[in-house]
Amino acid sequence: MKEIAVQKNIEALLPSPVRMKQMPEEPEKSFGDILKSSMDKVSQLGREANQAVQALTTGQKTDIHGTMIALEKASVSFQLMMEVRNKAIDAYKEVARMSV
Amino acid sequence: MEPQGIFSGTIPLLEKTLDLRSIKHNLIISNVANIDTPNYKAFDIIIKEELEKAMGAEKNIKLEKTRSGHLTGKESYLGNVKSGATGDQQFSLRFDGNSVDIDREMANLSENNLMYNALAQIISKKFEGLKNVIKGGR
Amino acid sequence: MNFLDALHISSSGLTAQRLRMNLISSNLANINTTRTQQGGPYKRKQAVFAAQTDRQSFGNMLKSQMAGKSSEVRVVGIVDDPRLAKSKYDPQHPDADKNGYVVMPNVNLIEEMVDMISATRSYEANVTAVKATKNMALKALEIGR
Repeated sequence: MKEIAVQKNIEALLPSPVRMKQMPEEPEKSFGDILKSSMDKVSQLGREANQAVQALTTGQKTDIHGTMIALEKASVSFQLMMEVRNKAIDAYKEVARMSV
Repeated sequence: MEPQGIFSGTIPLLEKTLDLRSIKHNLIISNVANIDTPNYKAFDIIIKEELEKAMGAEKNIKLEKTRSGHLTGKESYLGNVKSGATGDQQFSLRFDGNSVDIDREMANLSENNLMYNALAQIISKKFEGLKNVIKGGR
Repeated sequence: MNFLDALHISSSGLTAQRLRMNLISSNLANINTTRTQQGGPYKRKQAVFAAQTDRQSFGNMLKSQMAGKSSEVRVVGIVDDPRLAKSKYDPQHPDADKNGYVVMPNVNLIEEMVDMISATRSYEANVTAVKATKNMALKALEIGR
């Protein structure tokens, strides 16, 4: 429960109303599934950034702004993932501290 | 919660515009290099039209409506950029058939340069804003 | 969409204009030359430029054909000006023919000066293009900062 509340808090902080509309209407996936698919997307962004850097260094494609943008996207999404991880762990600790 | 969701917004628009501005830059400097080549016709692209095509819109660009699934990928929209001699660049006023007007090319060069720099700056600020939010203002 | 290509294009323009300047200088220096190795007076030289798409790998060339026809300029030849030379009446000249006429080079001073100004202006335009390219690339590098 706390986790879902935390997740909604984080979503509320992020400035993109469009994303809200993209939330799937299908049967509810567990938080773990959502987290896993998000992490796949983050690593996908990281891979794309790697490929962009490779193309730039080998001189195959000297697209400077594209590479920089890919790197930034990967960096920002990694940061977001780390923050989410921190919040999730904090939430778990909070729950674990509840006296039975 | 999708990490890619935080990049929806004006960031794809900025990316594509940056790409188009690069292409336009290359065309402009080709025109400048070929300023004395006989029978060379100046090339140009119209940023607004190309951007609308790339974003899949038919009228003015409204991000919220048009972005769902019209974009198929980076290379495909770049491959369809139409460039060619536009308007009064098709016929030349010169004896050797060259239609490059150096003053117009210089003006276009400056304008393109400025817009490119502005776009790079803007997208940088956008990322900075996202990072700020993620850190929670800490 | 390629900064290396942009620099190649501009540098080809610079080279072409510089070659043109060299030919103009040669024409001016030889404006009174009546004797050359080929015999006969000096003939005015001109460069022939042609636009060519960049030498690239095939894949890139395909993409660049689609994404806009940016092209380099190449000098494909140096030709003699076919216009007729002027003759001057000067029987004292060592190269005068039996009628006393000397065939002078077909170089027109005013024309060469105007050509020189035009070549200089084109060269400067290409230098400005290089500066603009560099400026844009540096600005793009600052995206993440």
